[in-house]
Amino acid sequence: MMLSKRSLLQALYGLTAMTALGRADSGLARTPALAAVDAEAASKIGRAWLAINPSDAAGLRTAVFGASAKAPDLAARVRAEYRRGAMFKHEGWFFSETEARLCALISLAA
Amino acid sequence: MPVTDARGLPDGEQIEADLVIVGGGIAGLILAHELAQSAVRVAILEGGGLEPDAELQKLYDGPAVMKGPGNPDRTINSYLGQSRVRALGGSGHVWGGKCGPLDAIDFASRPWRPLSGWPFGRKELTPYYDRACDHLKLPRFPQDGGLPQGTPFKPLGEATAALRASPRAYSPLSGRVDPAAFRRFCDAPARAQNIHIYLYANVTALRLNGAGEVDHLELRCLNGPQMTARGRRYVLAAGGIENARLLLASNKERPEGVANASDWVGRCFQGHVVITTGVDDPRGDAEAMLATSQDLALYDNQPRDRPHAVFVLDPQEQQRLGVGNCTMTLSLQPKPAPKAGALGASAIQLYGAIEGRTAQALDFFLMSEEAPDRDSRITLSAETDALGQPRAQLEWRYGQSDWDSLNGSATGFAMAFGGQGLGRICWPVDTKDVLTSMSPSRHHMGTTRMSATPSQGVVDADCRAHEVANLYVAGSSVFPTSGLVNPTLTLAALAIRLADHLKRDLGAA
Repeated sequence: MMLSKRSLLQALYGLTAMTALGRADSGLARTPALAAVDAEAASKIGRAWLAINPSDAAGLRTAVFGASAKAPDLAARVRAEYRRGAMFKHEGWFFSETEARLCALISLAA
Repeated sequence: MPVTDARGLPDGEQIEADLVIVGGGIAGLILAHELAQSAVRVAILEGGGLEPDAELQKLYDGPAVMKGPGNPDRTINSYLGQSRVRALGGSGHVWGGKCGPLDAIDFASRPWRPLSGWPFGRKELTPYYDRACDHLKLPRFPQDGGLPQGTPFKPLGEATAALRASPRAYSPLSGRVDPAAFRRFCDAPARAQNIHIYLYANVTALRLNGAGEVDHLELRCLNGPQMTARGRRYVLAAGGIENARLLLASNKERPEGVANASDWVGRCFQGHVVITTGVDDPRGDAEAMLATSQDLALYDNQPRDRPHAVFVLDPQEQQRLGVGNCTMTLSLQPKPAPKAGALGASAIQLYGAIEGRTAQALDFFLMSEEAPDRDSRITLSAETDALGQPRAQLEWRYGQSDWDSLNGSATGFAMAFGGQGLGRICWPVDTKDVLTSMSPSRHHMGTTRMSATPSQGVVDADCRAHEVANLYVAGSSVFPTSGLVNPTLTLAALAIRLADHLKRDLGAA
């Protein structure tokens, strides 16, 4: 999967603006929270995820954003993953699987 | 009645009372407070003086080692001497004052926790917890595990069934924080006409009569006289290590020691698994992150003048994860954010992006329940102390279930916080490093465990030795399982319950 970092982050920013807080705060769309995510550090998480889930790389974008045009509610999905223990632990940190895949997308775009 | 320095008594002195209490620590003193001004004549035999003394403290020394699967043994030879105090007031001299009741699940028999289950439930202790709170000048804790009345903050975990707030409060009688207040607490029983405190009176043996009851106690002062003490009833209240040591060393009539036919004395030694983590900690990069939009004031454990709370996992969640009880204690002290480019910084940013919340990094420590293990035990060393007594030695064993429970609890907290969008958790402690990472808890428990039947423990539900009708034990050594709170309030509640029993037993109710 070849995605430019710019286009990936643009996609993420748009999706983030659709989260619950995004809806409550329309300013979030203009100040995308994901812009603050350190791509280099996130890439480390992403590479660690892909190292143990190499077959995941091909379907990452669909896994994170879904196939429909409708923006997913990432926060709800992430929370649900935590609740059922669908987590990835890296250097002590617990991430939901979607968070890990987001980091994997960032690593591929970097 | 006076406080007597036993070193000035003549050799061969015979002390007599209705009730002889061995040990003037918090358990023994609470008993005395409860029995003050009653018709019961009480003698408290304290091995130390009014204040800690280095020479007397050496009587506590002994070898100790911690063992756990996958970890190198950790020798802690200073532990037996430094984790308790031989003086009137006992370890209360260094006690920080933190108190809370055990949770209902701590009393329950849990199929996923071997040797769990007390002979009674949380409800049985409720009136005694209330009275213990009065003694220790604490707000009373509701039976349902809720917060004391008037607590000015709400729990964060109200939104999630997986996370509970377990209440804590600091007693103003902490010897470490307010020695003068603690001294007044220690001195008060001696003002009663029926209480006589003997200092420097070291009990060296319980002697049994032909009926298998305690006939008398042998006492010895360091470089001083030898004496005896006789009573109608005896209570061992010398601490979780010394109670076992004394029973094992009293082996003249029975080679296995007193109250030890079932071979439980000294076994199941438990502390708590206490691991502190932090970004600046050389052990790792552990942080708890919680959304600052939530009110965390309830979890601030620094103010001593109001209740606070620690996080625990809901009992159903504990069962689902197959873990023991575990608490997460937060520090709300300002903490530098992880450095840019560090994994922690990225995790916080990612959390902020997903949840749309600003997060801050907070330190926390986990305190995890240790499973009772018969091979975790106090035994007698071949070495003797200055009184000629065999020293205690400790082999403190953790099992794989303890490591699994610790890690499983950390996972459970990550699920609970993440599942409600409350935060993210880092738990970087590697299982192979647990022993070197932990602070050896000074909560000595389990060595004279309470049980419904003689085959499973040392004392019954009344804290009476199964095998010795006139012998009782007070203190955290009777805890069958450790639960997850500092043990002082519970041992005080049990002492009050025992005092009521003894008043009835001795016809003074």
